[in-house]
Amino acid sequence: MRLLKKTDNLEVSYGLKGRSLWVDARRRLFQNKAAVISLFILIFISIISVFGPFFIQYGFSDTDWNSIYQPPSLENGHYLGTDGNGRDLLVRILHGGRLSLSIGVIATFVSVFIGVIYGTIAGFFGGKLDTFMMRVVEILYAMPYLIFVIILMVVFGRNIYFLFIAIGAVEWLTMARIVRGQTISLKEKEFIETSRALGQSNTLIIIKHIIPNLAGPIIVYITLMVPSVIILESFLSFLGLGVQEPLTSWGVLISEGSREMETAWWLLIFPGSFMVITLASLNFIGDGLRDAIDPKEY
Amino acid sequence: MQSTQKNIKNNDLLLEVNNLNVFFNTTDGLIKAVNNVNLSINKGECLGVVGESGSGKTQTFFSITGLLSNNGYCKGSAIFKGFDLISSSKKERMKYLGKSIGFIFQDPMTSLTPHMKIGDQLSEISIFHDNLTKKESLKRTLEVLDIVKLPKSRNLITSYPHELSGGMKQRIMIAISLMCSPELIIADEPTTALDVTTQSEILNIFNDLKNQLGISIILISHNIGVIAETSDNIIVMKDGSIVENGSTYNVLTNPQDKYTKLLLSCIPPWLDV
Repeated sequence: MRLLKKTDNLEVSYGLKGRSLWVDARRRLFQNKAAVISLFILIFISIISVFGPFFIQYGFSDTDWNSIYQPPSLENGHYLGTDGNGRDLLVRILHGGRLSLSIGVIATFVSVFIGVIYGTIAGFFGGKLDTFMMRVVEILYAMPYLIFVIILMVVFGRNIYFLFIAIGAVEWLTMARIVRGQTISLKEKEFIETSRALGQSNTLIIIKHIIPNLAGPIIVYITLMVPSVIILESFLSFLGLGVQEPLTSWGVLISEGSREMETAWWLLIFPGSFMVITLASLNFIGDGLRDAIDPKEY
Repeated sequence: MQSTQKNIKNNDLLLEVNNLNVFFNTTDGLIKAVNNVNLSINKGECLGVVGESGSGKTQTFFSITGLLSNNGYCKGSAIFKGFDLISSSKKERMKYLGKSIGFIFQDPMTSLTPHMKIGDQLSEISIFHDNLTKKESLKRTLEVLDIVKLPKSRNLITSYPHELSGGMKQRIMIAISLMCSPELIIADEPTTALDVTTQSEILNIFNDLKNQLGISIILISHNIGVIAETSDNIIVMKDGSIVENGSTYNVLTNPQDKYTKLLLSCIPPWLDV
C-alpha cells in the first residue's frame, strides 16, 4: 500500500481499490451494535480517566475535613461522596482508572510481546527446540502464580513497576501456547511452502508471512486478556500486594469499599460499577472482533 | 534412449540429475520414494514428467529444491549450471531458488499469502533477490503481469488474493516465479486445480515462456494431454523409478514400456493426443 502510493497514485487514477480482509473485518465489527457501543463506552472511560482529574477541584490525596464519609451530593462538589479520610471518591476512581487501564494495556503488551516471539519460534522450528520450550512453559504453568508474584514482591520490594512485570510474566504463557499452535498449522500451509521455494529465509518468512497471519487470534486474545489482567491486579491489590496508598486503583478502591459497605455503600458501588462496565465492554469488543475476523463462527 | 540423451548433452545443458534417491524415515521404517533417477534438461526445453499419484514425481523435484519434509533426505547429484543443488548448503541454494529456479505449486488458491496485496507479494521477491528498490520492482511487476497476460494489471496489484479467481491466482504464481528472470521453472501440477478452459490458457502461457523467453520448463502432471501439448521430452515414472523417457512424439506414438502402454490406453479413444 505504502509502496504503491509513493510511486504512482494508482488507486485514485483507476478508481478501484483492493478490499483487504481487515476492511471487511472492520465493516463487520461496526455492524455489531454491542461492540460499537462498548467501544464508545471504553473510549469515554479512558478519556475521563486521563483528563477528568484536571477538571475536578479536589486532588486524589487531598482530605476535606468537613466532609468525611459524605454520601454523594451535588452541593459541595463531592458528586460520588467521600471516603473515611475525606477524599473525593470521583477523582480517586478516575485516578485509579488510569492505573488499572494502563496496567491492563502495558502488562498485556509485555505478555503479547514475549508470547508471540516465544510461540512462533517454538512452533516454526519444531522438533527438539519446540519440546524444550514448551516443557519450560509447562513448568512455569505449574507454579502457583500467586506464590510467584509474592516472591517477586518480597525480593524486589513493593514497586509498582514490578507489578507490571509480574503480571506480564504470568500472562505470556497462555499467549505463547496459542501462538505456537497457530504457527504449527500455518507453517504447513502452501503459501509458506511457496515462500520457501522462492528462497526466502526463515526470519523473513516468520516476520512477513507468519506473524501478520496470526494477527486475528492475537487481537482477539488481547481484548480478553486486558480484563483478566485488570482483575489480577485488583486481586493482588485486594491482598495488599499491589498498589500502595495514597495511589489507588479500582481493585484497591473496591477492597476498601467492601470493608465499609454497610456504612458507606457508595464506596463499593461506584468503583465496582466502573470496573464492571469496563470489563463488560472489553468482553463485548472481544466477542465482536472474534466474529468480525473469523466470520465462519457466526 | 541412452544415445538421445548423449546427443542432447552437446547443447546447452541446464540441469542434470544423476542417481537421485529420496528416502523417508517413517514409523514403518525407511521408505525409498525415488529410485535412481537420471534426467537432464536443456535451455529452452520443456520436460514433461508423468506418473500416477505417489510415483515420486513431485518428491524428485522437491528434493532438488530442498523442499523435502523433515523426515526425508536424498542422495545423488543435481547439477544446475555447474552448481550441485543437493550437496550445497541451504544458504547457497537459496540464492538460486526463486531467482534462477522458479517453482509453481499445484493449488493456486492457497499458495498466496492472504493478507498481502498482489503487488507486494510480487515485488517482495525481486527486492529480496535482486536488491531492487520498491519503485524498480513495481515496474518489473507490471512487466511480468503483462507476460502472463493479466488484463488491467494496474488494478490487480492493489487487490488481495481472495478477490481473484483460481486462473488469475495461478497466473500470479507464474508471474512471481518470473520476477527474477529465471532460467528454469518447475511447475508441479500447475493445472490440476483449474477447469479445462483455464488450463489451456495457462498452457499457452507456458508455451510462450518457452518459445519467446527461452525459459526451460519442467512440467509435472498426471494428465498426459497437458504434457503432450507443451513438452518436448517426456519422462514416465512409476513407483519412484523412470520407466520410459524420450521425445514426446516417440513416447506417445510408440511406447516401449508396458506401463506407458497401459497409461496411454487410459485415454479415451476420441481424444486425439
